[in-house]
Amino acid sequence: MSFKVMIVDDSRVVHAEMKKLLADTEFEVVATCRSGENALSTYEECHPDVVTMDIVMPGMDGFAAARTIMEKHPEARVLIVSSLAYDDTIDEAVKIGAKGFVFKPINQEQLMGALMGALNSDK
Amino acid sequence: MNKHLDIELDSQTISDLIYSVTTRVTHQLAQIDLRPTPIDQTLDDEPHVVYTTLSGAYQTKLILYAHRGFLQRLAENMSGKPLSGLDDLEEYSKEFFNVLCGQIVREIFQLSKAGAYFHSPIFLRKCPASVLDPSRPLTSLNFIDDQSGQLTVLYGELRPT
Repeated sequence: MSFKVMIVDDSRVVHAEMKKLLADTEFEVVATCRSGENALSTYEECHPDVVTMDIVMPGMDGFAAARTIMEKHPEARVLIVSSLAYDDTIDEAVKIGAKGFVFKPINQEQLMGALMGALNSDK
Repeated sequence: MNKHLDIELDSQTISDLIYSVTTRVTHQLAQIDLRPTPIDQTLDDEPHVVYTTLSGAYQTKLILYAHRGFLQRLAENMSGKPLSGLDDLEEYSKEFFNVLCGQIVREIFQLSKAGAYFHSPIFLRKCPASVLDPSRPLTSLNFIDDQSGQLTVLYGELRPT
């Protein structure tokens, strides 16, 4: 059984890196978005099991995009993936209902753990 | 999120912090080992530039200067393959800078409890005069690697908001 992942990050380097880390796992990257605005419409199209969301992006930032997705889709599971990882941003992630926080640079163990944690967060 | 700087950070502390983060992140992402050098490459007009502004409890500018050769090596080491074009150079340079900025902000927070965000990095093939605003002097930290590739990190004074 595979789980659908949507990656939201303005860097296609991150898209490529995460696809590489998730290859041959139970997580399939079904969509990549380069902006928060694009993430809103793409979520409606593909309804992923988990969304990974960067914070720093041009235009709508990741927190705003995550908040909007979760307001419209309370079942959405969003993981924040960012280098901007300190108390304030982690607190904000918790406040908006994100299911976890992955620190950049990303490693596979951390990413897989966070994705599994997000899937199991409903239980 | 407008907390004041609980602890004032002196210029040496900030310099040491940025030096430490830069060498660590460059090694972590690209397996390149940097050491300090007195050579200031900002006097050249060839280096590429990635820059951003930090804002929150404090404001400042953060700028990365490097020649194309160094950025190419950085990008190829990060990706594990030759670059396919200038777009790749820009993308990898920006992602490297993104990780660098995030870790600098995190370490400043750990020392001062003052947080900040940074704006999406901008990549340019040359540094415009507006970025190096002479009315707000910048401190530069110059690095060199084992292949004589150079990297410079410039930053402004952390001004509490």
